[in-house]
Amino acid sequence: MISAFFVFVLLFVLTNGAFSLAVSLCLFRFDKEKVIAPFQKIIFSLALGPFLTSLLLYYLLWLVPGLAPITYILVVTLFFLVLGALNIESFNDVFAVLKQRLKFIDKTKEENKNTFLLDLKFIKLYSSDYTLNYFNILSIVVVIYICWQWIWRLIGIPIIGHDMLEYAIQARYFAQHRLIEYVENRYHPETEFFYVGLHGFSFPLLGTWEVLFSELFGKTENDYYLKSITGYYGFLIFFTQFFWLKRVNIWLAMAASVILFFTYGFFITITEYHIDSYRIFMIMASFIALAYAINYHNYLTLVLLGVFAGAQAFIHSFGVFVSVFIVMAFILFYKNTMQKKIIYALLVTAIIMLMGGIHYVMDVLFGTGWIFQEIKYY
Amino acid sequence: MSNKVKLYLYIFLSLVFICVVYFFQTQVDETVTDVNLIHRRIETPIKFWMNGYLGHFFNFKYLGSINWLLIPLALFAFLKLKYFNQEWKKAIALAYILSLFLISVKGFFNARYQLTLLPITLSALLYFLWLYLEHQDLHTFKKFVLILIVGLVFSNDVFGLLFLRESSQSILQQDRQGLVERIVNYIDSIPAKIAYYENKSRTPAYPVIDFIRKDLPADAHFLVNNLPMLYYYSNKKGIYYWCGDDTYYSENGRSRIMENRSIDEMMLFIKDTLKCDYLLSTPSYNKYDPKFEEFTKAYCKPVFLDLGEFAVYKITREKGNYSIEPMAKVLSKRLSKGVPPFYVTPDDVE
Repeated sequence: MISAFFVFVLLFVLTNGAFSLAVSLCLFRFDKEKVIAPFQKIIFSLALGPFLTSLLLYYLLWLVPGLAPITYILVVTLFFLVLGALNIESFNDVFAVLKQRLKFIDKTKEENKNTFLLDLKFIKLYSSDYTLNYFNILSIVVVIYICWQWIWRLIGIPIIGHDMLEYAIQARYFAQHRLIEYVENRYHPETEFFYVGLHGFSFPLLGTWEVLFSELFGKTENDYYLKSITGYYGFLIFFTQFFWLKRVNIWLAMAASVILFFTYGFFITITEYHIDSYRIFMIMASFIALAYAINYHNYLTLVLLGVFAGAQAFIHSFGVFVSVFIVMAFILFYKNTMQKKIIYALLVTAIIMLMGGIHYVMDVLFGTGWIFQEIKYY
Repeated sequence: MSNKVKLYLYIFLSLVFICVVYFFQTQVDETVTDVNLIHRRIETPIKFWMNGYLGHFFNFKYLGSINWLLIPLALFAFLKLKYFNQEWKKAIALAYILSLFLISVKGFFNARYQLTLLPITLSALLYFLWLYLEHQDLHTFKKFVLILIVGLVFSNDVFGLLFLRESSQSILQQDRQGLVERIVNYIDSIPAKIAYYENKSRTPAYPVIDFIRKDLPADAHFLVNNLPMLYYYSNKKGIYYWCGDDTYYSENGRSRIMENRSIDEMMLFIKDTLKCDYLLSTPSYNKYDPKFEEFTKAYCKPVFLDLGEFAVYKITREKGNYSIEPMAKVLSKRLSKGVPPFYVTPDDVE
């Protein structure tokens, strides 16, 4: 008998591990000019694995509803399998980065002096610089604490927050009916629940993905994966911040990690189950993608800008406006002829729509009306 | 004035400024009774601006006490260093400012929205601070300044824990103790807190759900006051409602319960039209509308209360003078001693 937690581990390895690996193979292959830092590509991939899973599931449940759960699992898995297979030539590049990251670093060597756990590198606890040793220990304590909190909460703390419960209920509803439709009132006749959420479906669909997957193993009530998203993207926020500030100075990067971690609201954000760390990371990523797209004129950076701007829009309504601001900033500051600016901006907008922006168009035209709905009391 | 003296002066002025903000943050307007505003700590005009519109910089409780430093530091980077001289920097600055503006205008009511840009704000302000120290030739002060900021963040957490509580109840009860009293009370409560958490780990997450599953009829039908856990953790049905907006939801959309109805008519409507026998709510939620609270006191007999403040009420046709206070007192005693079970039924009171 497979335990519910083991099913979660399987799902996590598949979605956040294998699917993210397929995305990273793709990113490494198309980044021929190597304009994106390898570590940033890994972080992007780790973020996109789960997101693209939710996006594929969205299109499948919307356009091909009512199929058996296994069909959805197989189609999504097949997509990533094909994506990985088509880009397998970059496996060595990805593997080299992972190997470099995951090997045990000897801190006594001068070149490893400034290496920390937040670099995603395993380290030996010794450095001739005692202050850096303290940071080393601090980074280990912080990372271990977050890991412990993450796992302890996953196992021991059920979903209790109001919003999170609503997402989880909607996730189960999608899985139960295997259908996404655009209706004026999202009313669940079986329970009389009414889903009032106005945001894109990416986050609840991660819960749907878990329910569909867990059903294969007879675990219909699993919600470990949906709960894990909070901490997972919390980690990615830390790694991203650390990575960029470490380029300036290690002290600055360590201090920033500590300050971010101990800011009360952020501590709550990465420990209590919610959508926030997921959407906040995607906003960070879309800002980084904006910088890449303006700095390096190539299609990969444009596509990434569209993907991340679209991702944060599909996760949360606020992201729709951020994506508009991002496109505006792109048009204003991208150095090219006006004609090319417009063509590229249209390309980015099209990708944003494809990445989930279309949900809002559908919701306005055929569904709840989104933020334009006229709230009627009958 | 040397750069070193200037730095000390800026640090001193910053600390004074933080103290001034704390002063305004701790002010309580005893005439305001709107729980929603008090809970969000935006009940006075100045707090409405600080924790609402300008919350990203001045909502110290949730976002820390240093975010406002981004304003002078970014201005320094812009004016002195000509930092924003590249297109990608201008693009990010524009997207950031527009996002921040939108958060201020539309997200002022919810601290969660103000958090949206926090990692970017913190990274930017620390980076600009670093540039400032380098520009002023204050290299030897870098570690000192960073440690000082880490210290500010820690002390802000402690200050927030002691003085910037969002507990609407404690504020409504005019809980305005002095510094020493608060610290002593907090320390006194630690053993009970430890006992509580030790026992809580052995208590079901939702005793109220256990009660609903096991002790109520299979066909019990609820009026659910903004507590979606019923739908997730039980197979019971219930009309989803929020008294704060007086809105309930059905397949037709939204409708009202309290509008144009007396509390007697509300009872008849809830019992006969909506067919609800039970109310799932919390005493705090009931307070979000005085009329709804009045209705609960008149027609809702409390039958269960747990440590999460989750309560089940039996909706009766007989008007009474129902109160959950006696049950709350028993529960409070159990919690203060750390002795389970952390739920109470009317039998425990009698």
